[in-house]
Formats: sequence, C-alpha cells, structure tokens
Amino acid sequence: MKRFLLEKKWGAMSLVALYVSILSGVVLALQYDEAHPFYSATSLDLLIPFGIFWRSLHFYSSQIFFLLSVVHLVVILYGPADRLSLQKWIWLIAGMPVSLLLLFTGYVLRGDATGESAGLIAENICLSIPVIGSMLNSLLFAITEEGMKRVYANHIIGLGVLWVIFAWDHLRRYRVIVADHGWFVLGIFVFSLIFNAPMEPMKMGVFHIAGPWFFLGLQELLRYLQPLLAGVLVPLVFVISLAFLQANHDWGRKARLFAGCWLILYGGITLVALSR
Amino acid sequence: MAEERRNFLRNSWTWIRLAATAVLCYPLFRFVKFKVPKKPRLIKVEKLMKVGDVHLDQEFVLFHDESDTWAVSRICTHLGCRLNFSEKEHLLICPCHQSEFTTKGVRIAGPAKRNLPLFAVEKMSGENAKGYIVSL
Repeated sequence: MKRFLLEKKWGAMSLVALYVSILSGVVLALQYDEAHPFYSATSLDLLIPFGIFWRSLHFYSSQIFFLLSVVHLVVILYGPADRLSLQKWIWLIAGMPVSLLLLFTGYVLRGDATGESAGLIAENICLSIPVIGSMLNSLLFAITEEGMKRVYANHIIGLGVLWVIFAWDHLRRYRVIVADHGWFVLGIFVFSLIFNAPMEPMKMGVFHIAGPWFFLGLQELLRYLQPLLAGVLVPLVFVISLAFLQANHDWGRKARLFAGCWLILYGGITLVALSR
Repeated sequence: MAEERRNFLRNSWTWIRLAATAVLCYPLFRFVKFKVPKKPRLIKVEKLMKVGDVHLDQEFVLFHDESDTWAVSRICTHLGCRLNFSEKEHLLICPCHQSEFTTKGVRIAGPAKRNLPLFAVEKMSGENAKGYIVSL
C-alpha cells in the first residue's frame, strides 16, 4: 500500500484531470451565459445536446484535479521527495487555496439554490473582514451588485492565471505525457457519462440547503460563531499552517500536527452538518 | 563602509519598487471598489391579494391581511441567503443557517442578529391596473 501510494504519479494524474477540466470548461463557456446563470446551467442540462455530459465532465474532472492534488501533497510530505526552500514552498502551496476557490466559484456559477446561497455567504464573509473586506469582495464576488460577472471573470481567467503563476515553477520541472494516462482520462469520461453533475433548483418550502462538500464544516461553524471568526480566521490558521508543512525541524512537525488536528476537527464538524 | 552603502542603496531600491507597486495598485482598487448607484426599482405584483395571501418574489415576500399589505425582504440579515416562507409555522426561515423571522420581519431565532427590512407598497388604482407596486 505504502509503495503504491509513493509510486503512483498523483501529481501527473491531477494535472491530466486539470487538462480535461480546462478543455471541458472552454466547451461549456461557448454556451454558458453569466447574466442568467441558473437558466443557462439548466439549459445545458435539459436543452443543449450533450450539455449535461460536458457539464458533468467539467464538474468531475475539476473535483478529481483537486482531490488528486491533495493526495499528491500528502504523499510528497510523507515520501522521500526533495524539500523546497520555505519561500518556494509558500509560493507553491498558495496554489491550493486558489484551486479551492476555482472549485468554489464553479459551484456558485451554477446559480442554483446551493450555488446562489454559497456565493452570497462568501460575499458576506468577505464583507465581515475589517478594512480590506469590501475591496476583497469587489475583487472576488460582488454578487449583490454585479451578479455573476466578477465570479465568472475570476473563474475563467483570474484564478486560473493566478494558479498557473503559483504552480509554474513546479510544473515546468516535470513533463507529463497525457497519452500515458489514457485509461484514466477514459475513466473520467465514462464516469461523467454515467453520473450527472448535481443541480438543485430553487424550491418553495425548502428550509435546509447544504453547501459544497468542502465548505460544509464552515457552514456549520457559521451557525455558532461570528462570520469573521468562522469564515475567515478558522480557515486562515489552516492556510497559514500549510505554509510551514515542509519547514525543517520543529516548525514543520508542529505545522503538520496542527494541520492534521484541524482537518480531523473540520471532518467532525462536516459530519455534524451532514447529519442535519 | 562601501559595502554597507551598497546594501543600503539596494534595500532602498527594493522599498521604492514596493512603494511604486502599491501606488500603482491604488487606482485599480479605487476603480474596482466604486459602486455605480443603482436606479430605484419598482416591482409590480399584478394580482389582487385576498386576506391571508402570500406572494413570494425573488427579493421580497408580500403579505396581505384585513388592515394592511406589506413587503418584507427575502434576504437573510445573517449572510444573505434567500428566505423561504413556512406556511405551517407562519415564519420566514433561512435555508442556510435556519434563522427565523416573523412575517413583519422581526428576528426571533438563529444566528441572524438584525430584523429584515420592510419595503414600501403602493396599491395600483385604475381600470386596467390591478395589484401592487413594491419599491426596492
């Protein structure tokens, strides 16, 4: 098992999934209209030939990209890989929250009950940050004022470019040949043909909406704590701990211990949210 | 001494470049942050309501009883989710974190701290005009 984990090329597979995600995203963008997000997303599902397939392919390949990059990160941390300097590591790891934001903005752009609510919550969390909150919201979301315009711009250009800037130095060191992962790509295609990407229309009399899986714990925390604490500070300490995961000596060990405990607690809170 | 001076100049140059970047960012942030004032919006509800009727719009809920017609915001004051109306409990409930409000917008439970805003409602009069105008 340990050998399998260490020898499998998780990073390369993650990148191949990202290629599939980008290509399917380009196809979707030809039909998606950010002025009418929900209408547009449901048109893809119900009207446009193969629309649901392309949407599912984009959805699942993006999820697989994120999950495999997490596996890649964990395996690298526990494997014999060369350590990066702290500066280079921080630069590279900054790509993780950016990829999570890419995933999140994708959820929001669906414009369904989950997407719209998640977007509005994110906007209000941003606004709860003192001094820079309003500016940050203007850069990332501004859904109340601008609809999905800025979320869309960030999803298709801004965040993608930012991710490439952070990951570029890492990516250019390795050569990934897509043909070597033919079965994996075929697997993503077949999976997307069988399983439709989720869509939750607004319904009267719905009194519980669950957010994206990776923010369920955050949704639960927001029930008890102030938005600034639950939505900003709690995730921020985790992101800061990521920066020191690979540091030498005591710092690295403490950061890994902290990040591990944080994830276990977050997983527990997520389970509470799922039980509602 | 010369080495120190060189280091000082090099550090100063770095700081000047950082300051120049910050100065260049200022017009960008001012540009992005500016909010174009929205035109006041008048939403027509083109139907006459009976006593006890409830009309759900995207942004408000319109109520009508024996003495009054009033519109209350559907946007939760906690984190902005869209509220739904529970006929059983006669309450507005947030699907995200279950804050509860009365039909007059008064917060009664959940993480929301503020009441919901009310909007002005005007009854349309005229031969062909039936219904209400809500000012947002």
